[in-house]
Amino acid sequence: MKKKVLISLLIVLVLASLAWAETETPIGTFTVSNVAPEAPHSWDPLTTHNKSQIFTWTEGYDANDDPVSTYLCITNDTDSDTCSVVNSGLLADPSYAFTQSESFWDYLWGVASRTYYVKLTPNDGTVNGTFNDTISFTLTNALPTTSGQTSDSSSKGDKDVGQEITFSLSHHDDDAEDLHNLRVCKTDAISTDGTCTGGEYCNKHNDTYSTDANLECGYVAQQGDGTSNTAYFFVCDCPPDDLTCPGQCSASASHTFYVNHAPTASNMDVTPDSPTSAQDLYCSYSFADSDGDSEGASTFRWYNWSGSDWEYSGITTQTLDASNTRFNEVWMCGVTPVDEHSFAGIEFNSTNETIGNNPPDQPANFMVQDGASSWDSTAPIDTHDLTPNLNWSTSDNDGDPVTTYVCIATTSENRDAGNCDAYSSSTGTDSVDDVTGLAYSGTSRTYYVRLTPNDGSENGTALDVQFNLINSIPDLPSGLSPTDTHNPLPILSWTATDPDDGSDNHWPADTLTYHIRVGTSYGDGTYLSSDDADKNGEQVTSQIPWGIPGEVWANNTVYVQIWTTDGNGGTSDTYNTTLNLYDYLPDITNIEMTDVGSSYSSCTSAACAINPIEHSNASVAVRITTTDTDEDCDVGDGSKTTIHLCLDTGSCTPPGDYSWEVDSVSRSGSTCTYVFSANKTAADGTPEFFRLPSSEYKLYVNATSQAGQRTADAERTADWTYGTLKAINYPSTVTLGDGTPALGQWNNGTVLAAMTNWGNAVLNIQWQSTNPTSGEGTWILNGTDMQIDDDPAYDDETSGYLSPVFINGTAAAFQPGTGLEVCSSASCDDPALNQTLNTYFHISPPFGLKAGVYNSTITITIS
Amino acid sequence: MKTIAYLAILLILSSAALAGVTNPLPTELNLKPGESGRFKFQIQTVASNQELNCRYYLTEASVLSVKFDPAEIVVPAGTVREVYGTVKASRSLDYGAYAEKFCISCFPTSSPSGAAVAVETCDLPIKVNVVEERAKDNMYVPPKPFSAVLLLIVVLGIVTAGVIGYSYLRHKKEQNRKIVLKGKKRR
Repeated sequence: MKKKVLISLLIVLVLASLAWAETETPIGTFTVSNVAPEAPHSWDPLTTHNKSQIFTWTEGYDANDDPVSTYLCITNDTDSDTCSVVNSGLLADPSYAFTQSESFWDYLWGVASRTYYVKLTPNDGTVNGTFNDTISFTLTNALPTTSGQTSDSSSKGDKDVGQEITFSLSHHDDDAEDLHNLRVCKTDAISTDGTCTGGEYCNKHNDTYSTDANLECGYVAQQGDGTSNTAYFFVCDCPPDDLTCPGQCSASASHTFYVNHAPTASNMDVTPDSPTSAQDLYCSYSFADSDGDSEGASTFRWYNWSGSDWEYSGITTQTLDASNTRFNEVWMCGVTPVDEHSFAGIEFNSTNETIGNNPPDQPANFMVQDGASSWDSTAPIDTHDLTPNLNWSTSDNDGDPVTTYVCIATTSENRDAGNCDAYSSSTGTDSVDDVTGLAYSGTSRTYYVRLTPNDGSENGTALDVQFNLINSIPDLPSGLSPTDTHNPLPILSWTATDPDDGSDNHWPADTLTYHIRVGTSYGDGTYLSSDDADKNGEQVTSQIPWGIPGEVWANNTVYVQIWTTDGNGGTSDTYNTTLNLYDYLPDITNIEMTDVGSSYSSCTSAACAINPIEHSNASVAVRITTTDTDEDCDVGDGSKTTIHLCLDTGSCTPPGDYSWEVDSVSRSGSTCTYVFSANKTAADGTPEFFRLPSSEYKLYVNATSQAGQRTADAERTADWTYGTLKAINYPSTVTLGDGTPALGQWNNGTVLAAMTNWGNAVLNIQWQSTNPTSGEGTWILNGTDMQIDDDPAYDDETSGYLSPVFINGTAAAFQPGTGLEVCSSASCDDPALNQTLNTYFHISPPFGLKAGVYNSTITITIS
Repeated sequence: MKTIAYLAILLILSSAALAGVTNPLPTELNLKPGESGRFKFQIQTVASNQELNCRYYLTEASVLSVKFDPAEIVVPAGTVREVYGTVKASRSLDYGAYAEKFCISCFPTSSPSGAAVAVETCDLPIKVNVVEERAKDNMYVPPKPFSAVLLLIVVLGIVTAGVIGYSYLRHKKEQNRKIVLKGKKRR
C-alpha cells in the first residue's frame, strides 16, 4: 500500500514539472543587440585580519539589464592575474567568502601584512564585460614580541639532572584579540606549524592558545643536557577564526640555563694494601664532575664481607679505625661523591682488603707499686708491699687485645722451668693487683717474674724481670713521756717508728706492736707489762709506790723497757729508760682558827683562839692554807689535812687531844684552802668547857699529799688560845627560908640552890641582896637577918664546911676557900674539887612586917 | 602569931642557868702609841632559858680608851653573842703593859616573881702592851661595822658636795659666756 502511494506522488511531480517549463517559453521572437556589462567596482574590505573574511563588490551597469555574474580572480603577492588564490566561476552574487581552503590564503610568515590582487570580470550571460584588475587588499597579522625570557636555573647548580626547570617570559601582540602559545626550542628555529625544528624543551599549550599574558613551561633536566644550555623562546599567535594556527610566531629570544650533573668517583681503593688489624683502613678515590664543580661532602660506607654478602657496618667515616677490624675480616668501602652544590652521585665501591695479624710486642715498662701513688720501675725494683700491684705495658701492632701470662717464682730456675711457685695468673689489663703467695724473708727477698704476651693468635716475646720484697726492722723507740710524773698510774707515751712507714719503698706502713715493761728493774713488769701497748697512751696498771717524803717532795724511780715488732719478723732494739714518780709535798702557809667561823685569825702569824662554851664544848672552825705545787689537792685523794689541838704548852704530837680532818678543800692555782665542811662542835669532841684557858696551847697540822707530808714545815705547829669562860649554873630564882617564915625568928632555908662552875676559870663569888619588898612593905636587911649557908639549918653547921655569911646590900664573899673550882669533867662530880657550891638562904624577918609575898634580887658577882 | 603565919616568902625554884662570859680576846693587844686595837668577848646563854639584857662597864678610870660595840646587848636564850670593843693607846703612853678590867651585868629582860638571881661578871681583863714594834700581829678581830647613820651622812655629804660643785661650775661657765658676749659687742 505504501509503495503505491509513493509511485503516485512521483508521477504527479513529473507532470507538474512539465507544466512549469511550458509557461517560461517566449512567445515572440526579435533580436536586440546585446551590450556587455560594465566593470565591477567597490571591493570591500581592502584590509583584513580575518581569514574567513567575506569580501563584497558592486556590479557594473548592464544596458540590457541582463543579470550580471562575475568571475573572481585573486592572486597573491604579485599582480599577475594568475588567480593563484581564487579563480572562481561566475558568481551570481557580488561577494566572496573565504573558506581558508584557498591556496596561498594565509599570512605571509614572518611578515605582518600580505597583499592580494583582485580581478573582477563581469558576465551578462552572454559576454564578458569590462574587467577590473586594479583592486588589491591586504591580509594582516602582527608578529608577537617577547621580553623577560628566563628560567629558574639561570646559575650553576640551580637545577640538577632530574629536576624541573621552569622557563617563563612575557609577550605582546598588536592584534589584541589573538591567542598565543609558547615554544621553548633547543635551536633557534621554529617551523610555520609552530613546532621547534631542532627539538623542544617545553611548550605552553602546545597546539592550543591562550590568553595568558605570561607564559611558562617546565622542563626536566636531562643527563644529556649540557652544563650550560641555550633555550630559544618563541611565542606564536592564533588570530580568531584562523583554522591553521599559528598565524605568526615571534622572533626567538634566547636564554642560557644550567643543568648540574652528578659527580662521579673513580680509582676506588682501600689502603693500605694487606693491612693488619692494627691499621686503620682508608677509603681512597678520585672525584670527578662534568660540570667542573668542586667536591662537596662526599659520603662513605664501609662494608664487611659476611661470607655470602656485603654487610653494611654502619661506619660512615672515610677512615675505618683499626678497632673495628679483626684478623681475617674482609672490608670494602663505598663512596658517594657529592659536588659543591650538594648533588650526590651514585655510590662507587672500592676493591676489598683482608685483615692480617702480627704477634704482640714484648711487654715493657714493668713496675711494682711501692707507695700509695708511687711505682718502682728502675732496677733494683723494691717494694715493701706483701701483696703488691704489678703493672706493665703491652702492645700489638694489630691492635689486638693482649693477654699476659704472669709467672712469679722464688728462683730464676723455677721461673725458667715454668714453675711459678709464688704466683701465676693471666690478665688482659696489663696489671695484677694484690699478688698473693709472697712472703718476707729477712730484710729483702727477690722474686723472679716472666710476662708472656698473647694476642689471641700467638705469643709474643716474654719479658723476664725481678723485684725485691723488702722489710725494715722498726726503729729504736725513744722519747718516753712523761719521764717525771706525779701520777702513780701514769699514762705513758713514747715514740716508736718504723722505716716502713708508708713512704715510697716502705709502703704500706707496717702495723707495729708495742711492748713495754715498767718495774723495779729493766725488763721487770711489776707495774706494767703489755705486749699490745698503745704508744700514744698506755696506762700503768699497778700503782707505782710513792717515794719517801723529803723536805719538798718525794720521788720514786722505776725502770721502763720498750721495744717494737712489725709483724713481719722485725723487732727493734730495746729502749731502756727510767720514770720518776714525784710528789710535791704541801707547804703549810697559814693556819687560822676561830670559834664561830666568821672571823678567822692566823695562828701562825698572829694569834688564834677559841672560847669554851658553858657546860658544853667549843665550836671550832679552822682554815688552813697550803701550797701544793702539784695543784691536785682538790683532786681525789690528792691531799689530806688534819689538825691536832693539844692542851699542851710544850709541844703537840698527833693525835694530840683533839684531831679532825679538815675535810673541805678548794684550790686556786697551787694554793689550797682547807676548812671544815661543818664547824666542829660537841658532837665532834671539841674542847670541853672545863679545859683550862691558855694562850700557849700547841696545835699541829698534818698536811699530806699522796706521798705524805714534808719532813719539816715551820708553819706546821703554832699556838692557839683557849679562852677564859666565867660561867656558873645557878637557879635564876631561889627560895628564902622554907616558905613559911615566922617573924622575929630564924627560918631555915631548906631549898637547895646549887651553884656549879660551868666555865674554865676558878671563880670568886660575892653575894648581895636587895631589901625584900612586897606591895605592903619593905624588909630592910640589917646584915644579920639573912644568911647564906651551905647547909639547910641556920644553927647546924655540921652538914657543911662553909660558915654561913650574912648578906644584904653589901657584897659579901661566900665561897669555898679555893674559890669555885673548874670542873674536871662535864659531870662536875669530882668530890675532890670544889666545883659545886650548895646554897641555902636562912632568914629572920623582923617583927612588923605585913603579910605578903616579898621579893628581892640576889646579885652574884663572880670574878 | 596569926600575922606571922600569913607572912610568906615566895617559894619558887628555877633550874635555869645564867649567862657565861668569856675574857676578851686577844688576851693581849700589842699596840704602838696612838694605835687602836680590836678585841671581842662572848656572852653565852647556851644553857639558859632566859633572855638577858647585858651591860658592861669599866670598873675604874683607865689610861686606855675603851669603847664597846654595841654599848649593851640583848642575848636571847640559848645563844652566844659576841661583843666587840676598841681600845686605843694614846700617843702619850709609855711603852709597857697596861691592863683594865670591866664587868658585865646581865638581867633577865622579864622580871620573875620571887627572889631573882642576877649575875655580874667582873675582872674581865683588857691587856695592852704598848710597844715600839710588834713582834707578831694581833689576833684578827673584825673592825667596827660602819654605822648606817654615818653611812647615810657620808652619802648625803657626797651628793651635796656634788650638787654644789656642779652649780658652781655652771655659774662660772655662764659668767665666762657673758664676758665673751660683752667683748664682742664692744667690737
